[in-house]
Amino acid sequence: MRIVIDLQGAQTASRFRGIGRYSIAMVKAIVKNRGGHEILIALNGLFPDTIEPIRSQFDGLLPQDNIRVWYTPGPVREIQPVNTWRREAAELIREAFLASLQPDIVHIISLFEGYMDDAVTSIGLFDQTTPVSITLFDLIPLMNAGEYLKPDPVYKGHYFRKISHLRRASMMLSISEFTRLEALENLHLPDKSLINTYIGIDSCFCPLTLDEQDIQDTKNKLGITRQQETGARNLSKKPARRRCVTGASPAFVLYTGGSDARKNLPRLIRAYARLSPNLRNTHQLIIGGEIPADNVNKLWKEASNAGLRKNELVFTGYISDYDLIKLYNLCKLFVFPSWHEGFGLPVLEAMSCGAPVICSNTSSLPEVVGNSDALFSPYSEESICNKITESLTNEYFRLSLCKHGLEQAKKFTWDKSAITAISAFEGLYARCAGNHKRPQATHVLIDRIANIIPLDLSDKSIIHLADNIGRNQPQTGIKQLFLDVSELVQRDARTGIQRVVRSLLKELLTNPPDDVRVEPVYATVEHGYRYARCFTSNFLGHHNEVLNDEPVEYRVGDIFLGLDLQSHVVQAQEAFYQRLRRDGVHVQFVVYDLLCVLMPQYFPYGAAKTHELWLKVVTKCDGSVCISRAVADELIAWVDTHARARLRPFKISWFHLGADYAGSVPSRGMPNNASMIIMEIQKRVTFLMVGTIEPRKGHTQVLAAFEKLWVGGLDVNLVIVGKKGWLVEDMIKRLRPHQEFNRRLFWLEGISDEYLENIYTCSTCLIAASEGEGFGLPLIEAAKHKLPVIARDIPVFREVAGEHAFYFSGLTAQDLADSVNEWMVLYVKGDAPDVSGIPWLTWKESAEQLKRLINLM
Amino acid sequence: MSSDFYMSFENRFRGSRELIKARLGIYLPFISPLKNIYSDAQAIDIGCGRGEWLEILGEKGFANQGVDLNHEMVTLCLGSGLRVHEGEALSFLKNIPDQSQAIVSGFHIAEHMPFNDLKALVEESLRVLRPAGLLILETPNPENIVIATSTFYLDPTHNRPIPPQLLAFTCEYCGFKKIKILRLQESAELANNNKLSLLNVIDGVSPDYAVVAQKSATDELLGLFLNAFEYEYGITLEQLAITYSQQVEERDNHCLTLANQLDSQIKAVYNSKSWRITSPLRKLNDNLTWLFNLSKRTGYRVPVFLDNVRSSSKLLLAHTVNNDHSRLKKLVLLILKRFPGLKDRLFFAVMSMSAHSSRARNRCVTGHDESRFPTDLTQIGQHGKMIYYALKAAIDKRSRENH
Repeated sequence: MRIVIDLQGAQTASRFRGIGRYSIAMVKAIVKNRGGHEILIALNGLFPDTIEPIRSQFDGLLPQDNIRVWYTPGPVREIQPVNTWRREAAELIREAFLASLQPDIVHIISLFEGYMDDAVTSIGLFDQTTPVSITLFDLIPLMNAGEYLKPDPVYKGHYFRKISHLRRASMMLSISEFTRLEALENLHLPDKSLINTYIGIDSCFCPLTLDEQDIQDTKNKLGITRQQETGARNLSKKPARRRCVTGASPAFVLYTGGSDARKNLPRLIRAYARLSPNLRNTHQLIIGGEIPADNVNKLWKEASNAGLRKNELVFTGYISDYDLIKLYNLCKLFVFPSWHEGFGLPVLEAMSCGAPVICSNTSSLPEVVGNSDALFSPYSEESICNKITESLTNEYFRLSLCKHGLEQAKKFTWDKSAITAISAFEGLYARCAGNHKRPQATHVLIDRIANIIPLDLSDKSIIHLADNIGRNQPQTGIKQLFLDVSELVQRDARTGIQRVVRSLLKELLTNPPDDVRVEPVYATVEHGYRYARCFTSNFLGHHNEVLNDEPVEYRVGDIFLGLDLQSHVVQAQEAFYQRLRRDGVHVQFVVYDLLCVLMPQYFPYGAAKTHELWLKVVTKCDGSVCISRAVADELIAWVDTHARARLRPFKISWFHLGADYAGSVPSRGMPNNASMIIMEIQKRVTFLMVGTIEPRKGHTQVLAAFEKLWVGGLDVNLVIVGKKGWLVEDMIKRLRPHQEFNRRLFWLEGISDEYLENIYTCSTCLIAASEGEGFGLPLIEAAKHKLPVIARDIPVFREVAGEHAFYFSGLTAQDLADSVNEWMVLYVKGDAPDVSGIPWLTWKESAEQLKRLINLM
Repeated sequence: MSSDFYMSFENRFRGSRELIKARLGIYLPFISPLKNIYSDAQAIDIGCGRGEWLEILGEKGFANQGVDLNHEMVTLCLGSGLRVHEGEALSFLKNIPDQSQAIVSGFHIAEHMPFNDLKALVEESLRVLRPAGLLILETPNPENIVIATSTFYLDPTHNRPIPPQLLAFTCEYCGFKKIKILRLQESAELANNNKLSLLNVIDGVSPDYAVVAQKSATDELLGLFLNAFEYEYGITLEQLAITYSQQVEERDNHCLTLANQLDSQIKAVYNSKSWRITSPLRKLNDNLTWLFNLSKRTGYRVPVFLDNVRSSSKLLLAHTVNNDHSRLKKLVLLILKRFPGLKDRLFFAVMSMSAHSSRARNRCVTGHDESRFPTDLTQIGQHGKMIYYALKAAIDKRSRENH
């Protein structure tokens, strides 16, 4: 059975209240106990900021693909009549979306939503086939219409519309037996359509051991301190700032919750005023929780009229969960005089914390507290007063309330509620079995919407509407793997990274991962991501004049992999990546290195900043694929210190790059003097350096070391292959006029792959002196040419070459000169490390590694 | 002819040869069944020109020969290995045996011939064709007004335009069993154009047409050609003119509806209570504006308090709505309750003013960021586009039904 749960109750302002707590806790428990059933969670895209927190709540419990987001143009809140057509369209759009998920049952956690904010709930307007069940929290506005509905006709209209939807529900899960019976009686519903599941209690509500300091801090924070008696005080005057009494403060009686009329607070205050002077002198009444200022004033007046002194009553204002639990633990008595509740959560919370609880003998409260001794009549001040007196004066009775409460609270668990709910779903499914699945009826939806929207609706609004409906369409075809090639599409600068991008792109396009369609995509700073159709057909050698670069269309389960490094585009598209993630697309980036962040002194001013901004965007997504374990380790360390405010874990994995030319397309061409230079190289033992000339590559140290070696009489060549990079003016100034230049010192600038191949063949040893690398391709190139390697001892070189290279450390010329001498001795004896043992991958194998990681995403 | 000229001639027209061959593709559904009936099918093309049709016939397996008056054309065809005779059509046909050909064709020759010769050509064709054999005659279409009145006469060797009905009747009169008129070569965009212009009506009708005439045969044989003969080809003047007037009418109606809507809306505004109640306010605003403009023109300094009137009234409004304790708020809400439209507008105004206050955020949890909405169709995906067109169509249908 597939159950689709509408979880908007965890998205609207309700998420700050009991309904929000219920939504998450109950659905989590249903997911845990789902057995063989499939659960899908549907969320409203008009609440973008709530989606990631909800996804993180279910991370590890439910596959992220099972959380689906639907879109409709907003605002749709019913309090604004201008929204009417949008709301009506949204009701159809939402139902059509839920139907497209092919549910056996739809369950709406909170039906009464959408008045103040943009939630959309309805039943049976578009989909009349799927059985819909709802959670019924209470019918308080209906039963107390005078207070809740009469003053606000717009709200009344809204509420009764929701009641008419409720009547079309096939089943209701009530949160108490009382609510079940109330609905049966007042809505005249069939008995079997209402099932009581109760609710559960979070395990954080439990008895705590608090030390004296902790107790005092909490009380001070919440203003629970007793003033010194300073004689009679006129209550109508604003009180002077309270002076705190140090030492143990008196005990207190606690109420928590709202201040609606049904909460019966005036009567509680009057009843409290009737307590004996002795009890009032030793106990305060604490009203906990956020209460509107108007009501606080009214209650102060009530207190004043009843003769309650200023220091006998405290309003705490808003309390955090943590402080709330402490208050439950600290109170001498918990009193809950409400005459109408759907369940009465504070009573259960107090019992779970071991507080003695007394409450009204009306609505759901008797079944929750489960103890007739703990009840009073909410309509009688005397009854309330007597029960409080009994509890405060009869310690045996008070302790028996505590003991009973703790036992009673154990009866309410989320697991129990969820299991009852699931068997109710199973029963409903069995009753409704045989209902055939609905056809995909987009055209029906469109016709209905066309009849709702204003005829003068602007074209822009129609586009926006169509875009939203388009996003809700079910997945067609296979999963897409978006490869971001934004840089390559615009220019091929033939950098090392672009070589990697081209090689991997080619492999992935020709041999895509199983059941995945590879789609190169690109964006610019100005426009969003589009399919790179024109680029791709050219890249594959087709000449395309038909395909356009359409905007990307993505669905839940697709994967976005940032293959190219295009910092500005990535920064500009940050919001889009978050949107992808909200919609269930997995977003990862390839990280080539963190060099300019880790060694900023070796890079032009600003490079570190730019790369850091890029990393910040990247680490807000789902994960990264690094090009070596060394880079992965560096990234893990960086994330630890820079990207901690995440709700879901950041996944870091790594693979190795390929090294065969066959995979990428080699450049060709030999200059006129090539054969002469090759002849010179062949004359002596030749050390080779390959790579752009830039500070971190260690050219300065190597040149200085060879000057020492030449002076020392070692007749060897040093060949530097690579373009001039940045911040190396001094190095270049030394290089060209060098007395050994073109004699034993050669600089081959920007040579073709073909020429480099020849140089490798006739050299003796490669020096890899770089202080930091993402991967270290020159080591592998050397291995392929059986060219021994002297490498700086850094993690990535150890990772790539293992025991098959000769390592040096130290940053002075002498350090390296000594190492070269040492290596020469080994080389002459034939004991230099054998380079042919360095393992390396073809681009095909590299792409296979990457594909395995992609399959795990 | 020099070989240089020959080369450049061929190169120059290669593209256009391909184009012509593509256009001739329209006849394939007619001729393909013939090859199935007669495995040894033969075909003759009169006025074969550069031989594009002969090449197609050859590719489709028809033994073919052509005849043309133009010496250079004939040389060109012979050079391409085609079997072509230089000479006059009618006398060439007379030497062809009875019932020997599957196809006789003539592309753009009819308009060059005197009518009697044309009639004789049709009669000869009928004689040489085998049962179910086809005569194809293609010629400019005088239903296209620009062709009939101007372009036809660009070629001085053209005789007179031939209306499709005349050519069709000639074939029927001479004894052909089935006749089909194919209108050809119109612009593909025209069929789906929902904004036709008058110029489209004048020059948009299919510029060429062909008559395909079939010699009688058994029903069984003729049945093989059913599909090709039933399909309708091209655009007639009548179709184009009717569509054009419908579209003009629709646009008129749309404008009329809009005008009526605006008219009734503005009447409603003038008649509304809020408009009448706020009339003194507007007058005040007009006067203030006049005063400010005056001060700008003359340098007269407006008292500071007047300068602040508008900004302070906005602030007052925001304060009123945002302050929960305010008695003023209750009073204002009480008054506003009677004017829901005004209440809405004020609600939005205040919401936008206090968008940054935390109170407003708590009250409305929302995520509308208009700046990121798509503004045109190029910014949305294929699904969205399809739904956009479907929505537009459904809305159009609804507004048509409303009339």
